[in-house]
Amino acid sequence: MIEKIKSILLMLLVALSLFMTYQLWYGQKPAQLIAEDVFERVIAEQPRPLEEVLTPEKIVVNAEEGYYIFRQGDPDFIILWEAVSQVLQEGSSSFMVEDNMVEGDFNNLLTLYFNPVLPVGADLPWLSEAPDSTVRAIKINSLEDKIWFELFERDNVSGLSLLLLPEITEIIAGLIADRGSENLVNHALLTDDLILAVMEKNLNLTEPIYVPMETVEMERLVLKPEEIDSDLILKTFFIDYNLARIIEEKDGGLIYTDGDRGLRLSSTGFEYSAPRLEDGQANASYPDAMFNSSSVIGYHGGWPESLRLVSLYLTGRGRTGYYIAEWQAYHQGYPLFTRQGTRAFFNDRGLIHFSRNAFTSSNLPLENGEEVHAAVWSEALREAVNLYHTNESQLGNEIQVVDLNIEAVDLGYAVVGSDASYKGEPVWFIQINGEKFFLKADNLEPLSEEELI
Amino acid sequence: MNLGRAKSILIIAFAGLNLFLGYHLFWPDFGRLTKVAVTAEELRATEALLEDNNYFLDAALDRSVRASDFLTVSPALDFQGRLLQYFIEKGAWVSDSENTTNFQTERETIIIHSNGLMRVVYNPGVLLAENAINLDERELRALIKAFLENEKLMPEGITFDYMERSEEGRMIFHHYQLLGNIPIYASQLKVVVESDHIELIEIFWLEPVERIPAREMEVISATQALNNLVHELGPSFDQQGIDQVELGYFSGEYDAEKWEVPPVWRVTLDGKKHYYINAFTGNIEQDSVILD
Repeated sequence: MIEKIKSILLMLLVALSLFMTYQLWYGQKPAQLIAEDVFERVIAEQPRPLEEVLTPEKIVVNAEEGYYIFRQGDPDFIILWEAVSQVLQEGSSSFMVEDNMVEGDFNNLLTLYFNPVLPVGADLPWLSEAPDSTVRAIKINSLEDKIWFELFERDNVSGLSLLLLPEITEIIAGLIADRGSENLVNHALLTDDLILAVMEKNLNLTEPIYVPMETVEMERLVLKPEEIDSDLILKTFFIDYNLARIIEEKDGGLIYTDGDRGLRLSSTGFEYSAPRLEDGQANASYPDAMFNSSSVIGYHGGWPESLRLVSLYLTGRGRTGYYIAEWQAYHQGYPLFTRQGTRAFFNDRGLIHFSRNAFTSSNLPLENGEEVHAAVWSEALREAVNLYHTNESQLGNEIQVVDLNIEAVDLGYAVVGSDASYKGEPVWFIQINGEKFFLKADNLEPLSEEELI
Repeated sequence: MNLGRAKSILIIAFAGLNLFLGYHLFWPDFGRLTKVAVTAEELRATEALLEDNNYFLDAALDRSVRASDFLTVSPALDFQGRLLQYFIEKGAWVSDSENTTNFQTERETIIIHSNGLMRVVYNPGVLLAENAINLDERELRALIKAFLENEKLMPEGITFDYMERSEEGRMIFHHYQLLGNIPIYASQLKVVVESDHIELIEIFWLEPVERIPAREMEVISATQALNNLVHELGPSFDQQGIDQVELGYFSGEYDAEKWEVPPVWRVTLDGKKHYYINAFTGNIEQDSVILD
């Protein structure tokens, strides 16, 4: 009898050990371990160093009969900016600081315009031996065998003059001389006299605006939205993405949220929001904010070559505040205008909002992709002024605004289309008293901002 | 060695092996059934924190270790469809506006919003009872239930939640949905009674699609939820009582195909104010964190 009991007990113990071995091997993890098993900071890309965060808005080279304009996306733009940036970074091994350099009949070779402004001073890559300041423009001038940089501060007041050492002078002079080409379009600088002569009325020019003096030919572009690795993007925003839940929108968009922050993925990009952080202060300095903007775009999707930081400013009310950084894509020197854009709001507490909608040319021919001959600038400006007045009268503003501030006159591409196909329509972009006008470059038909993607 | 002795040795060996396996299998959660998420010291500390900030705990707390998961839901289109069919059979005519579809009968207007929110407006209101204001809550609840049943406005799983009474005599009866015995606070039905008449019924009802057991996690304790709430709200000017702390599901209302709803601790203050604390993250749930 006792042997029988032993046999049964032994069989039970063997069965139990087999069951527990199976459980141990294949069984589920205890509930509380699931939330803790992912806890690493995932980023798409390391932030760019400060010297690569900022590029000029435009570089204007003096030609025999006007100016050549180089902007982001032009190969010459990068060559010129890297050379100038290098000189500013090397400091006293490249130049000597001089006073009263503007005596005499000198030539202006080229001008670099910065928007956002270039920070210089201690602990910064550029002019680290100079007092802390910001630079709005750098003019490169020459007289006989001398070349010097003339730095203009934010208020357009001439500041430092940097006389280049002879070996650097040769390099810079050579680079500028190589930039001339038969394919480049000659531009004119808009002046009050030119405006009066062409438009037969006075308009205020708030910025140095260069307009093409020849007919410009542009191609309609087939565009594609930036490819987003949604899984990676999700991990860059939610350290523990197990806690994020999914909302499937009716239009096919996906929202991830943990109740505190939300991330919406769409066919053209994404939008992130953490509204609770709005109640924070922004004590970071302008250069620190510039670096933080680089972290934001680098961490959350990376910073493609075609995207340029076009704006960085502090805003807020009362005791709260935040920086707003905006980026714009460029194609061969022309900006791509979008409605949503790529924009980040951040303060000392973190990232409040980030929307990312970037497009690049797909290099595919458009089915009816004929070249577009852009209308001349004066016609475009006249049309925009008429539209401005029409809008004013529609708003019921009986007294017409006498002072019209012309803030931008640029050629570029408006991103239009739908999920099936996106295209870049060549447009004149004109900004008057803060109001934006997009006019199709060939027939000046207006495009509303709502028509842009 | 005889067979009996060999069996004894094997029994001892397997018993030892089973102890070893059992230790590794259950040790991290050993005593889980008897383990409490809230110790007596933690409870005292939370009560002291509440008192310091002018709140007092007037509810029994669930002190056991609780686990939960996300619940996938979609708007309850079946219920809505059945209801609309009923109104059409009653002779309702249909019109569309920008974000709503409207059904009009002689007595009521039914407005369907694109996110599934449904508003039944009675114009004039339907008499609930003469001098309803003087009836007690139990009688009123019975009358409301009878009205909803009669009007085919009783979705599955509906449970009375609480009643609000304004000084002007306006009464609002709040209901939520029960899934098993777990409340889905995001599913709501409100009945508004004014001057003895039912004026409006607002329904945002959800269809539970699935629970996601693969994402089951241990939730934060009820005391942790209260600590987080006090930290977020700060001290109260008037003393406020915490009447109820209960685990359920809650999220904002979305104009979406379907979405996942997290578990929350719902904290009720003075019988009428509700705060929803995400039971995984400890954050207070907001209506929507995506900007329009």
